[in-house]
Amino acid sequence: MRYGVIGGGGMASYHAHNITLIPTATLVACAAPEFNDAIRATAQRVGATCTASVADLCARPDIDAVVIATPTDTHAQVALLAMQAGKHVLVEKPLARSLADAQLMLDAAQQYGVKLMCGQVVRYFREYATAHQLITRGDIGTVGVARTARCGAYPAAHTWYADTARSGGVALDLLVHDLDWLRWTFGEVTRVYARGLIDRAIPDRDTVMVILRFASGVIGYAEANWSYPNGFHTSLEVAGSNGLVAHRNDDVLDLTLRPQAGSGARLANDPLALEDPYLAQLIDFTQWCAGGTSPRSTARDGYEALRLSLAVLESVQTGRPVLLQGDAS
Amino acid sequence: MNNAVLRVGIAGVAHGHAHSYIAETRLIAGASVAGVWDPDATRAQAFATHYQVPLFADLDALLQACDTLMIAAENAHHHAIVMAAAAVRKPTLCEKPLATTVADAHAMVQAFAAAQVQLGTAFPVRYSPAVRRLRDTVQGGSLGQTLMVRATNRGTYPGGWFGDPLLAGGGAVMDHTVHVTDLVRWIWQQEVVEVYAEAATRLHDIPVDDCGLMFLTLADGMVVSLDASWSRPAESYPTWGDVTMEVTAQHGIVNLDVFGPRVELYQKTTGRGHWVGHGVNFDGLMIADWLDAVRHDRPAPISGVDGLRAVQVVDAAYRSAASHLPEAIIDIG
Repeated sequence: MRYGVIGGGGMASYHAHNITLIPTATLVACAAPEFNDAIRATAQRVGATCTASVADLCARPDIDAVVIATPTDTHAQVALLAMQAGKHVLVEKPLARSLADAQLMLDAAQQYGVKLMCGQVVRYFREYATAHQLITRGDIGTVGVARTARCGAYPAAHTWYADTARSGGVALDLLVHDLDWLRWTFGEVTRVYARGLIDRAIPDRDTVMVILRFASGVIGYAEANWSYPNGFHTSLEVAGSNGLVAHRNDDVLDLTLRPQAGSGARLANDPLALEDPYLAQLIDFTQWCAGGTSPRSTARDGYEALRLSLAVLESVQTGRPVLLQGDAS
Repeated sequence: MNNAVLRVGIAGVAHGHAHSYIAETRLIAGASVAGVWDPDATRAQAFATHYQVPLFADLDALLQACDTLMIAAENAHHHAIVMAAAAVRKPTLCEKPLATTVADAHAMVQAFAAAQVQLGTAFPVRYSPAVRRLRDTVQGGSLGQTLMVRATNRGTYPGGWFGDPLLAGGGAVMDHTVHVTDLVRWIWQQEVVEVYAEAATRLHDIPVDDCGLMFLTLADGMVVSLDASWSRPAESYPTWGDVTMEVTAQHGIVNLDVFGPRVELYQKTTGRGHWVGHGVNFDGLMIADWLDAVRHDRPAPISGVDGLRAVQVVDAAYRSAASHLPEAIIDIG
């Protein structure tokens, strides 16, 4: 699979690097108005070209698929350009900034006969995949209540996150991960009521909390914030009639470093990236494009996760519960 | 041998790893299971029936039918099986500990050196991504000199033949010293030169030690403390055990918890919590690497000598536990 990467920030450079780790994939070109050092280094290492023009990249006949990691509000425009050019598309979450944009993307994939996937990567985290498996095979019986949390530092290096009209704030950017996992595990959501800080205009403290009701009867709580000064915390806990499943990422790291101040001590990377969920996601997408089975997360899943995130935002802004009809498909 | 299907013989199924060895072998293209033999015919029959693989009534017949042997017999049987494999020049991967005595382990290494085929020791923990990153971190130099290491390889008492001194050759110290010893040798690229150990039977009504605490001293003076005890209550502890290290170095402290990645599961019916590991499958990586080495005639990824070095440390630990003094490694090679 010959890849182009569109976007010049952290996620774009990560995907570009991961492409170079897949034996059946090649990184051909990268496109962005500006690139970080990591993406330039990766491109140089494998002889990929860097261009400012997304149109030029999409026009290249020697590219089969693109990975899009641009600001959220540009996903649809960029994806449409790529799909019109016959490229398969893996787009970062959230699928788009609006449901109308998201629908255009789903339609374009049909119209141009290309594969479209949304990077709901939490399904590829081993802990979340394991919890999903334990729950869905019945190890804890009938589920009553499920809760998740996802807390990180505000991505201050990129100013577009502060513009909620572009990013959707933490509800679209982080909470969408857990909403997708919850929907994957417990099915469709019928009602959400959310509280949050998006209207306070303090993007670097943006926080959202939501209580959900699922068609299956499960009730859920999900929370995301950009208030952590450093580090990244995720947790999940699901209680059922026969037991409890729990995970907290801070408890279960297999290698950690406490450096002496100013020493420059740092941990080595895992050269094989065996546990990297982003690589697993990219491998899944690559084999799908090559004619393999459907990936663990589809564009429709991305659409539904976005629909939930937007319902959460609507609830925060109206102060009222939002009712969701069943699966829009 | 490059293009043919590699036929794997399984000799001895007393150790639980026999199950992962056969499962992992079956996942590998270009490898097949030739069959199974065990000194206990009843046990061999049950295994062969369960996995639907040919049953061999004697070891020599299995050796004739396979290209490489994997041994998961009781510790005390390793020596005789390995020597039989050396006699017919079959590359052999042996469960740890390689042998119950230094003399046996040494003879096994010598026999394979003379036969000029690979003898491997099953130390799957080397294939943990976290262990590999720790090794790269230590060798990359940013930590500066390592000052000391606190290590654990604690577990539940495995039961059965593990409590029989004639079959196991020892207790917790025999079972759980070798993994960390191998990791330390591999990460710091040094040999253990001296061991101090306290060992005791305190937790179970068994004729072998179930508690073991050690200091391993490396050639440059660095000290590793190791807890090798069967100290996890099987009735309530949420997992089988652990492999951990806290590495204190000049420029920082690194914590390794090989089986840390987990989801916690608590069920009404089981009476205890359960940690469901979701890390990389080390056994699978080890088997794949071993078979690739056999196929391409490259040296064993983890050799018989690596197995011998770990047995030498166990030997010194038991001597120290008896003498109450630090004991030097005896290298008869």
